[in-house]
Amino acid sequence: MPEETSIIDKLPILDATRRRASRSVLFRMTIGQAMIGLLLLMTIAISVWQLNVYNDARKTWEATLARLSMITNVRQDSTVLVLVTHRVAFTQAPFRYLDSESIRFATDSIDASAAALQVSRNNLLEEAESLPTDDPVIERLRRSVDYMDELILMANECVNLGETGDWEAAQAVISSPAVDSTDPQFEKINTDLVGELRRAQILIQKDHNIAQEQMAQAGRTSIMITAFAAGAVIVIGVLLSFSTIRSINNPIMQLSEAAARLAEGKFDTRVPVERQDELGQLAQVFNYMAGELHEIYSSMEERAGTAEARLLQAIEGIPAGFVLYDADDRLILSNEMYREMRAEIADLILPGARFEDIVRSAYKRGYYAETNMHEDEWISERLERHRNPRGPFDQQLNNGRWLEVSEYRTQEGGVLGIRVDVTARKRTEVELREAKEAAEAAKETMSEFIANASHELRTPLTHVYGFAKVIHKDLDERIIPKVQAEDRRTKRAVKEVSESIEIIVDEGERMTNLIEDMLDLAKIEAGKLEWDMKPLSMIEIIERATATASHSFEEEKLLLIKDYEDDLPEIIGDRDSLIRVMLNLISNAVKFSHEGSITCRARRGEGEIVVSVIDTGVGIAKEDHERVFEKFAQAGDPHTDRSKGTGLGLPISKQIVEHHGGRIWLESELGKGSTFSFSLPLPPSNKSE
Amino acid sequence: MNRKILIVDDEKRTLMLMERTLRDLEDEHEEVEILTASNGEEALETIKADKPAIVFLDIMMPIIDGFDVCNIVKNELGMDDVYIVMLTAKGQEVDRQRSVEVGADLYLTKPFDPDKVFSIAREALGL
Repeated sequence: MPEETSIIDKLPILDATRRRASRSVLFRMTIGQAMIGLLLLMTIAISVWQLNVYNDARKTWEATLARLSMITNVRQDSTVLVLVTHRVAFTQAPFRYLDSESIRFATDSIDASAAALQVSRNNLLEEAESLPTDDPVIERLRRSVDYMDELILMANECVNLGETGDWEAAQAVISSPAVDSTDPQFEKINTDLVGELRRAQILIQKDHNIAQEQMAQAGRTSIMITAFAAGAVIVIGVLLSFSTIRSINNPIMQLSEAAARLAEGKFDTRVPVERQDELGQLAQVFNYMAGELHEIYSSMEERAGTAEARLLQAIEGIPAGFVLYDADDRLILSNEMYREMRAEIADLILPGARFEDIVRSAYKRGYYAETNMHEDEWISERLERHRNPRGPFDQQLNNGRWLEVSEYRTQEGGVLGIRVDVTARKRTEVELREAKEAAEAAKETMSEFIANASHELRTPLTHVYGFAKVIHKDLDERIIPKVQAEDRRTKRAVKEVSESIEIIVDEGERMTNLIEDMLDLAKIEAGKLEWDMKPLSMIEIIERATATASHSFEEEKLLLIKDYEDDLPEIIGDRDSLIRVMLNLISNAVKFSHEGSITCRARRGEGEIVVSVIDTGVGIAKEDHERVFEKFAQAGDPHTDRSKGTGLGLPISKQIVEHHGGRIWLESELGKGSTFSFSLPLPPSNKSE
Repeated sequence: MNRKILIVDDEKRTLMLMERTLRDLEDEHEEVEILTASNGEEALETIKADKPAIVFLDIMMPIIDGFDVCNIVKNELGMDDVYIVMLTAKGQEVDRQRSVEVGADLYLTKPFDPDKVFSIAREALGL
């Protein structure tokens, strides 16, 4: 791989070691092998040489053996000669003493002797031919053969003569000195041959012995050389192997131990570089690697240290309690604020502590606020929530504090927890809720009171109003026409009674309206009014209201102007309530206008419809603009009798408009008339139009 | 033709006011007769006995209230030709609904306008 070579190339130490590659382990092993090979070759050469020596000796040995054998035969044949000679000598006797029969027998045996001689003579001749020509034995043999030829001739002559019957002549031949074994010539020949044979035998025997000795020597030498070579090979081999293994094993063991120490994180580990071979090179590379590792690790450690320090600083800086649990739910770390929040159980908040153990111990100590749950149930729910966080929840402690607990699963399967002290918020919430409940209760009480009060008021009011009206009728129709009052005072009294009754009736009406309005307002405020929300045309509402109020326009001689925008979209609302709003605004406008006109205007605004009632009346001072929508807060001079209303019309209108999601407001200046407007939102489907 | 008017109320002054309001009708038409009852039982007896053409019925009464009387008359006795006007000091929306449920023909809140009561009675009696 190119990357590896590039790393190796970066090592300056390697250039030198590459040049010294001849001393490498491999080279040494090769030299050892070559030595062993040479030794074996030498052994083989010596053995071959010794084999030749042996072979030569063996040939000599075999030759001498043959000669010895031949000489033995010659000596045997010579012995035959002696025997024959003695026999012939023996047979001489009958020739002298015996009759012809005996002589015949004697000639026959001479004939047999001659035949035996012939065989021996031929053997000797044959043997002589096989000998080297310069052998002194041959001369002797020739002479022996010649002598034997002579004897055979004589024997044959003797036998021939005997067959013819000439015994005398036969006797004479046999009796010749040549046949006599005692003949000195015979003795000499025989002795010479034997002597020569013995001498030859000794010589040959000597050669034979020498050859035999040489053969044995060659064998011994061969065995010795082979044994030596084998021993040498074994010794050299063992030594070579041992030294090689030793030289490889030690540094490898060192490297292995060093690597193990390196793995343990002891990055200052180095191995001694004592050699220049591959192992030395390996040691150098190892040291280089250890150095690099040390450097990398140190820088990583430094960076990790910095990062961890920053992280811890950041965690401490979080304005909330922070806690981290690992995948086994054991506490890893927490910040100071967390431990402060948990001061009562600080001894449980220890790294390595299991969440479940902390919660159980804390629960047993009564750390958490009491609930109506059973201990086991509470704890198992808390643990379940911890293991499967599903958003923040509030936890009340026994010391009255509230913590907002947010837990999240980490990627490693642990849990990260954030605690925020929400005691203040909780208290505010509780206070707010209590205040709201109190307000609602008060409203409810108020509404009930008004309902009851109105009921109690109605009965007497019924009588006041009803009887006043009856009296007024009786007075007008039956009494006054019959009063024949002459004096001025009585006439005035009758007139004043009638007027007073009229006022009572009027006030009775006003009180009746007041009770109705009060009741309605209380109902709206208590949310008890039932609204019939339907799509409506605002123009139809205005038309309906103006029609109802038409008689008051006529009474006051006011001009009604209608100013509608075309194609106004429908709104959603309660018909009767909205008519009531319009009637309130119109009756207000009529009430405060002496002359001029009243304009009812409807316009489309941004997502809403704006309805305005514009009068040309007295107007309302700026400082009273806000107040007019308050209960019983009629604008203008409190002494004027023009304040005919109940003082609840505008507050009721405000409630109704706001219930529809709109708003109501006033634009006016004293003496310049007033414009009361209210807006109603368009339903979503109409907003885009 | 039956032109009896029954007024039912436990308040004597209300009975008095109603009587005075409707007295002109009695005076003007011989056949018109005004009857009164001051509680539910009395009202039921009178209705059964005299079969009035129109009944002004107060709601708030002890033992048998106006709703019960109306319910008995309209639904149990089957006298649905009796014109019943409920009169109440309560003025609550639920009472108006209840009145419709028990079969009342009209619903008036106190204080009422005597002139209006007069014209209702005259119309109901077909005068």
